[in-house]
Amino acid sequence: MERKPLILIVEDEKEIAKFVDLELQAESYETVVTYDGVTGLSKFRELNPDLVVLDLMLPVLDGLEVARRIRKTSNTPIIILTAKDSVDDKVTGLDSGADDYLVKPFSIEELLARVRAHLRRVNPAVTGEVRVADLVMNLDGREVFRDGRRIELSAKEFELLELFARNPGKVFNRFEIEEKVWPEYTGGSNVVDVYVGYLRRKLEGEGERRLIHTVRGVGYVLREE
Amino acid sequence: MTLRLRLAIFTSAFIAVILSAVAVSVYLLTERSLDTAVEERALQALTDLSEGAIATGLQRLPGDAYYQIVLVATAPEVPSDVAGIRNGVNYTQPASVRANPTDDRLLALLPDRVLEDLIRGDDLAAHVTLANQERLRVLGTLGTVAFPNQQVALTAVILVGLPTSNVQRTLEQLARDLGLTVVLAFAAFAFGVWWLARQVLSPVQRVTQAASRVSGQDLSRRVPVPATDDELRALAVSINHMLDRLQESFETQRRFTADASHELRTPVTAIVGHAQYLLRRTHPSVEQVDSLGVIQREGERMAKLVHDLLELARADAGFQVQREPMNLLEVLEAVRDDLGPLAVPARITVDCAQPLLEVEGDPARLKQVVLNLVQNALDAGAQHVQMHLERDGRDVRLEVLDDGAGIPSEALPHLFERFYRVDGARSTRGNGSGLGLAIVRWIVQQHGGNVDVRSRVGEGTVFTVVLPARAPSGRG
Repeated sequence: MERKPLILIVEDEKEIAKFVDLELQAESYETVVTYDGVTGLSKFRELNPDLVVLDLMLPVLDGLEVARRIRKTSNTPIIILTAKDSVDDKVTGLDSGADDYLVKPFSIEELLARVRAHLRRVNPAVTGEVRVADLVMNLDGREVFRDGRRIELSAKEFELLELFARNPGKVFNRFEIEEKVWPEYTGGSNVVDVYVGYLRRKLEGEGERRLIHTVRGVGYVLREE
Repeated sequence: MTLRLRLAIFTSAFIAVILSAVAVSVYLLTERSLDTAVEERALQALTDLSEGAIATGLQRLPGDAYYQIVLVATAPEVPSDVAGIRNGVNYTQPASVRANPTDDRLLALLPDRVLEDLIRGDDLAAHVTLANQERLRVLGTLGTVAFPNQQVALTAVILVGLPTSNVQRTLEQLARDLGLTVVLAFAAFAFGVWWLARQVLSPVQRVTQAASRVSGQDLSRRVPVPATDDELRALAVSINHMLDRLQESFETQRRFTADASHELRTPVTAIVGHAQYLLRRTHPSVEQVDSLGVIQREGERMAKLVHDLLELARADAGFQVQREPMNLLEVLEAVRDDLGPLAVPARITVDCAQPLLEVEGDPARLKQVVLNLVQNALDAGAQHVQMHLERDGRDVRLEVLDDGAGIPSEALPHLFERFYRVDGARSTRGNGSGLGLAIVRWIVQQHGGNVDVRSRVGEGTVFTVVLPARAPSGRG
C-alpha cells in the first residue's frame, strides 16, 4: 500500500496552522506542524517531507531563509503562505526557491489544489497531465509549469496551449486554431497570432527555449527543437 | 499674469508718472522764467520810453521790438469821448527800431476800449498776433515823451511790442527734448526692471520648479537651497522643512494602513478557514450551517474590505500597476464565468463583435474593475447584466449595463468617492465595502483611461470604461 504523502507545515499563527492541518488531514495527507523557522528546518531534515507549506513571517528564522536552506539540499516543493502580496514580495519569495505563493486570505480549495498539483509534479504517474519537454500542463487544475515554474495563463491561453500540447509536432493553420479555440467568431482577425505572442511571452519569460514555432506560410507547431 | 510682468509693469508705470511730472515741471518752470525775462525786457523798454527822451529810449529798445507812440493832444483828465480823443490825437509813427514787416499798427490790433483805458491811466499788458503770425507781448502805459528837437514834453500813450516767438521756439525745442529724454529713460528703465525682475525672480522660479517636481509619488525630492543668505534661502529651507514633515506623516499613514491590513489578514484567514473547515468536513446541523455560513460570508466580506483598503493604501502611496499586452474580452468572459453561476436567476452576458480587443494592462486589476462593476449591478437587483465591449477609434470602450434599480441623479457625482453609499436601493443589500468604485476609478486612471456612469431610477445603470487600445503595430 502506497505511503501517504507527508506535508510539513511551518506557520507561527496557530489558528491558521490548525485549520490548514485539519484540511490536509481530511485530504488524507500526513502532516507535521511546527511554529518557527528553526524547528521547521530541523523537522524538514529529520522527516524529509514530500511538500512544505511555509509562512514567510516566522520567529527565529524567517520563511525566506528557511526556503533558501531547504533548496540547497532538496527539490521538495515549497508553497509559501503570506500576508505580503506585492510583486516584489512574490519575486523575492519565488527567487528564494519557493515553487508557489499564496496570499492570505487564501481559499483553502486553492491551497489544496496547489498541493495536489505540486505533488503530482514530483510524482509523475498521474493522469490528467500533458508533458512536452519541460512543459507540464495539469488539465484538471488548469495549471501550467515550465521547469517547475508555475505560469499563470488566461482561459483562452490555456485552451490554445492545450491544443498544441495534446498534438506536439502537428502543424496547425490559423483557420484550424480559430475554429477550435474561438468557434464563436468568424475569421478575419489576428487573434491567433496575438495569442501565440502572449503564450511565447509567458512561456519564455525567464529566457527558456522556444516551444511554439512559426511554420512560415502555414501556421504554428509545438515541438522541442 | 506673472509676478515678473506685474513687477515690471507696476514699477515702469510708477517711473513713467515720475518722469512725466519732472518733465512737465521743467517745462513749466522754463516757460515761466522765459516769459518773465521777456516781460522784464518789455517793461524796461516801456519805462525807458515813457520816462526818458525818445532817442535814448529808442536806443535802449531791443532790436526785434516794435513800438508805437500815440500823442494825446488833450489833457489826460478830459478824455470822456474816445472818438474825440482819437480825432484829437496826433498819431506819430516814428521809424521803427526795425523795419516793421507788416503794416500793423499795434494799436489797431488791440480792442477799441484799450486806448480809452490807457488814457485814463490803466496799464496795458496783452498778447497780439501780427498778420505774419508773429506773436507779440504788448505793454502799454500813459507817459510823457520829449522830442529832442521840440523841447516840449507831450503826453502820449506808449506801446511796446516784443516778439515772443523766440521763447515759443525755445519752449517747443525744450518740449521735444524733454519728451525724447523721458521716452528713452522710460524704455531704459523698463528694460532694466524687466531684467532685474528676472534676476531676482529666477531663484524663486528654480525653487518653484523643484517644488513642483515633488509629487505625491515622490516626496523624497528636496528644493535646492541657494548659497546666498537671503529671503529665498529662507523660503527654500522652510519648504524643505515642510516636505520633511509631509513625507514623515505620509510614510506613517501609509505604513499604518499597510500594517493594519497585513495584521488583519491573518485573523480573517483563520476565521474563514475554520468556518469553511466546519462546513466542509464536519456534519453541522441546519442551524449550525446557517450560522457558520454567516461567519464565513462576513469573514470574506472583511477580507475584501482589507484587500480594498490595502489597494487604496497602495494608490495613495503612488503605486504603479504593471502593464502587459492583454485581451480585455477575456477578462469579461472570466468575470461572466466566475459570477454567472452564483448570480442565477440573474443573467450575465458578454457582447462583443470580435474575439480580440487588446489593451496594455494589469489583467488581475482590470478583472477587479469588471468584477466590481458587475457585482455592483447584481447588488442593485439587476436581472440582466450586459457587458458590451467595442473598439472606439483609438480606445476600447466597455459598457456594463444593468436593469437594476438605478441611481438617483444627486448621488451620481459622489459615486466614486470612498465609503460613499447611495441611500436606497443600491445599499439595501450592503455587500460592498463602499470602496469598490473608488478602486475602479483608481485602476482605470492608472491605465490612462476614464470611467463614467449614467443612470435612471427604475430603468438601470450604465458604467462606461474607456481605455486606450493597444496599438496594433509592433507585434512579431
